[in-house]
Amino acid sequence: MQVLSSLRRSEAAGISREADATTAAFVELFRQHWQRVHGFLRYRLGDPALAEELTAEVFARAWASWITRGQPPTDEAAQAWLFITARNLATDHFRRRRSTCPLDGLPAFLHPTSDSPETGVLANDTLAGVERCLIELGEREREILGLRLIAGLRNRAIADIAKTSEGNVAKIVHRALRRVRQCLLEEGMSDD
Amino acid sequence: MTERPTMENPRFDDDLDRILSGAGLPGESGAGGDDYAMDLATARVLTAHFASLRHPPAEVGERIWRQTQQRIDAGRQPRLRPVSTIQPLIPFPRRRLVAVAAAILFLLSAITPVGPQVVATAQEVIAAWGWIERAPAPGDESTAVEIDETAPPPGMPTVGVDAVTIPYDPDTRDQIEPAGVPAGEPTSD
Repeated sequence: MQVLSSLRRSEAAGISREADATTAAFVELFRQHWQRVHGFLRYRLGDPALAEELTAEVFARAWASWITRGQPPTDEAAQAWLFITARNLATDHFRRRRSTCPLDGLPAFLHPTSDSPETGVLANDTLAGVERCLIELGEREREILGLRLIAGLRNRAIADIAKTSEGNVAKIVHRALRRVRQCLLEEGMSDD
Repeated sequence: MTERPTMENPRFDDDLDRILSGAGLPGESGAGGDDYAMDLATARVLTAHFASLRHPPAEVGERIWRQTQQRIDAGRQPRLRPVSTIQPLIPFPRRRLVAVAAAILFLLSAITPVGPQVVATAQEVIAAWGWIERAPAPGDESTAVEIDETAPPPGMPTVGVDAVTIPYDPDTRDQIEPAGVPAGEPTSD
């Protein structure tokens, strides 16, 4: 709610003083999806500042597309457009940096808040184990798991974004969770 | 008989949504077999670790919104077109056509008898134009060219800068043959 009020203030002050339908729809699009787009990009990139920058780029491109080509016909289409653009921007970033490990910065931003040093150490151990297991996944498994568990997209929406079938997405999620579970067991961690 | 839930059926997708929303699962323990339950438990572990990504602070959203506005505003400003995209005065296909036509005319003028005649005529026109330019206008004293009466008339042969002047009669402007030298033979010192 705090973000929403801020967005409305910003809207009134800046981007468009005309409260037309397109602007209102775009503000609503931002309000609904910024957390998921940002979370997905931060998961993929591991750099908080870069994730914010590319999230802003995703929405700026969405606005430009709305102006030139019109608003997407459905919310699902708009959501798919946002995540396809986010994926492409992340891919371009990795190509430029020639990086093969997008989870480099994961520990910094996944650091859980802890009330005591003991729980902090335990949490860090768990966190490191989860990270190792995620890194062992394939690129496609890691990406689809991020779209499912961080962006919160359902399998059908992921299928539209990843250009594959819904059943294939379910299998990839299934396989990824099995591999993570097996890895956690090998690490001596229980997922209960 | 109820369908046994598996990873591929839509129920797992629904159960993942419940985990993401923080809601409990109906009949969670042993809902659909050990593998099913353990996979849901794994998803719950990952979801808990991704919590900070799924729920960032509100300040992050405000920063992203400001950046989005800045990028949109920057995109609205007109940009200079690259030089290569500026349309020339004569479009390139037309310039090429003109160049090809000029080359064809040049070749035709070189291989046909009309060509040298055209060139010769052009030279005469240019020469006549030059003579007209040099000639004084009638009554124009300022631009009149003084005629040297002692200078040989046009058409008299001279050789080089130090050519020997052949004497002539100023009145009749006829050549005077020196004594002892037959007419038409060159003289030398």
